[in-house]
Amino acid sequence: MMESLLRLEAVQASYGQSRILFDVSLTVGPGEMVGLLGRNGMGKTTTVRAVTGQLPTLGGDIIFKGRSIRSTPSHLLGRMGIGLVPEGRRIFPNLTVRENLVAAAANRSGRPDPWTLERVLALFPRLGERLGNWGSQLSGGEQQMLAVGRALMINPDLLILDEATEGLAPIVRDVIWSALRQLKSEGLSILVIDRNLRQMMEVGDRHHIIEKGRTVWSGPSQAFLSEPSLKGRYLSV
Amino acid sequence: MTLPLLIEQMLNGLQSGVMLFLIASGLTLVLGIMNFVNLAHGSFYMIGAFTAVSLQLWTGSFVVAAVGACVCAAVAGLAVEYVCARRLYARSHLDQVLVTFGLIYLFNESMRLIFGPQPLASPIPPLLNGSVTLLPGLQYPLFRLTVIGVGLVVAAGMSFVVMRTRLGMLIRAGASDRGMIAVLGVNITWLYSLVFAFGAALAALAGLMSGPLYSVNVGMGENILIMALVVIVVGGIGSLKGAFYAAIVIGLIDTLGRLFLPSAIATIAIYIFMAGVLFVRPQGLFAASAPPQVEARDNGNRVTILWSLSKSRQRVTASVVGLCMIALALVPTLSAWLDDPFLLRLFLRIVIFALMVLSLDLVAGFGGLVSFGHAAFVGTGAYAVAILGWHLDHGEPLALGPIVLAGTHDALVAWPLAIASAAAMALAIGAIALRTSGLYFIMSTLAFAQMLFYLASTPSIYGGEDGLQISQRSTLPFIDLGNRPTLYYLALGLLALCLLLCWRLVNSRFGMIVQACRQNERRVRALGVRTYLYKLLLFVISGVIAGVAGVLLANAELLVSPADLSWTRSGSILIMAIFGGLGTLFGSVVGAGTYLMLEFSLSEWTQHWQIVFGPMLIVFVLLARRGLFGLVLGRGGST
Repeated sequence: MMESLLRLEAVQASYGQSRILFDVSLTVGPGEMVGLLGRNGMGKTTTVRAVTGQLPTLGGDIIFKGRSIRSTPSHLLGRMGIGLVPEGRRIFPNLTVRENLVAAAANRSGRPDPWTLERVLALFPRLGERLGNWGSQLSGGEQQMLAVGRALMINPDLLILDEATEGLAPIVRDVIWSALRQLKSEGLSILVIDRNLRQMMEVGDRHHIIEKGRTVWSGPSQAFLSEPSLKGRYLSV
Repeated sequence: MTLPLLIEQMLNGLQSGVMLFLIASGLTLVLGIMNFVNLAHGSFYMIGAFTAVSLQLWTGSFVVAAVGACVCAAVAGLAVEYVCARRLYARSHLDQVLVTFGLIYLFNESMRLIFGPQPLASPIPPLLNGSVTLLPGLQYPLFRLTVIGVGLVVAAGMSFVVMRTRLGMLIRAGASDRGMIAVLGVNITWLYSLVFAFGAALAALAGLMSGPLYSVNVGMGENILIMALVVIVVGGIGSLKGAFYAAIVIGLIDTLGRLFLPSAIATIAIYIFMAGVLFVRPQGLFAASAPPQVEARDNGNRVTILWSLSKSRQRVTASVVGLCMIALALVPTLSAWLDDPFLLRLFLRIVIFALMVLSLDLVAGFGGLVSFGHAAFVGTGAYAVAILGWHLDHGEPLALGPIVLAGTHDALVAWPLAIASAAAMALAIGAIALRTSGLYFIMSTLAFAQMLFYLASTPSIYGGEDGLQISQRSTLPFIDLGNRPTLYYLALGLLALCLLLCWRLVNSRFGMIVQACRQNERRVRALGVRTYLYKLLLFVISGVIAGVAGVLLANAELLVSPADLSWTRSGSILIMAIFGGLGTLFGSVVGAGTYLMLEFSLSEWTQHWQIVFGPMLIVFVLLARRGLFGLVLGRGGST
């Protein structure tokens, strides 16, 4: 197996007294799209928070680009190349669309073809029409596009999307998914949490299922599709 | 009034407005971005002024002095951020208020130690000495024009940086979502320190320019700080634009008010203006369409709720309280036995302050309404007693509109009137302040109390700044209050009664509702409760208890003065409440006792006791979260 870009080894984490993650292990290889599946409250978002330095881990290890990042602060992870599209989008409502995109933009790894405002607008033409609007004036779908665009502007090596299509109209969801497909074809590594199994299996390479803070299944899309019982056991409500 | 004079006064107003902006802009940025209340911001103004004056006298160069003052304040700002502020970003506003209050003690006393108590005078730099003819018949000092110019340039520069540069975008983004900014690879810690130091430098800039205009003295920071807080409340927290316009308007109102309004009104004109703004727009005039995350922070981590304790702990509590009361009842005997009248005097003060703290604990501990102007209600009660006595002594009837009172020393008349005035004051201030919440509430109660402070300081028949002597204690049938032990027992009895009533009150349905409001007001409102009325009633009840304390204070001291209404007094009451532990009721006695005995023993030891007390307060707030009473009871009592 090729050297993975991101590797979680038996990660444990908790919110105050309540333990959420007991044993989460997963890998994302270069250029791979990996899905993180599981029911509500099983620890998917907590895993993302641990990876992005927003929640300290209690045990296990997180390795990114061959370095342990267990106690690395958020902002250094951003600089190392982890881009996050967070749950609830969290765009800056008091900044314009343009400002949201350029505020934190950076090309720290000196990429020859960096993400620029123009490239993001080409990916999401809708944002181009809204450049001067405040973040608070956007629709949910537009906010989501902006959140993806903003994460791309720091030129990440790994893009993490947490429920990026939650609550969006199907037509907008398709826009996001086709963008993800394009990003993947350009070689970006992506870790994605989403409820849309059909798209996940179609675009994603491999998947991990989390149940009560533990990774209980890992495998490629084909393996998931050939085991219909997985869906009933771990995903249906 | 000639036109040139009017223009001159308007320019003066503009000048004081831009200075206010220099203070308020740093304060509002720190508030908006870090959600941090820095009461010690005025200290940077003071540090700037002192450093500039001494550097100027030493080197003779205004430029060196100016640069030195800004650098010095920026370094002080960095130190404050690094040592204190950083640990408090995630804590409640109350903790922030207390720690920065401790910093004020520390800074003021340090300046007094270094530069002595005398105000310093600062020369106008020779280059800026003289005046300019603006219009025929209108000469205007060059220095003041320079101040206006510098202020406007800084405002324009800040507006450019914040609205047009990447740094500004990050600052604004940080104001709405700090965590997200970090995830995007921005070092938020560094950004915070930078903004903090920059704000301090701006305050110092105002301070060094104030030197040649006003006198440079210890305490200069607090007056301007409160005006800056008014500016922020009026302009909207976190809004630079709001701070600018509000500062100019308030500078103009303050300056022109002194020209056109009677002096009593002129000193409080800006507070009246603030009240008006809060009444119409509780979020301030320029609150951003998407306001920064300046929300009410539950101070629940400071609150110890007794009935959530186990039965055995409740029994322990009851016995501790009982023993305390018995010990307090023995004080007059002990005092007589030791032949030490001071002991009784000290404990009378403790009992009276315990009532003030109890009154504050009721609103702050149970209602979550951190009032930073509680001295106003105590002072109202005290002044009412003094004023009624004065009118009797001087044979001048007191005319309140159609009602004419002869004045009295009779407790049965004066005390209910005094307590009613305190309650009425609480009703009036509460009615406006309760339209706001969180930080705005803290600041507006502070500003309203300050309004009363200035009103009492205005020269009048009631003594102005000197205060008002009371010729005798109030009279009661069968009881001689002239006898200090009798007054003490009466005060202790009233304290016990109020404790009991408060205990019943917080355990009643009413008490449950206000406590629920503290935790989540929106949810209570969704249950169909008109929370505003509940909070207002709580505030008025608290005002009644404060009024009782005021009546006793007037009788104990036989002197009322504006100091009884000052914001430092309000701050002390708040510190006592924290010492004792919020939401404990009985902690009020512990808190008042600890504070006053500490103050007494420290001031016996050194005249600069505040330089010890300030850091003690800071350490206490940073380390002991639930007060002494909470510490005694141990863990398990938190909500």
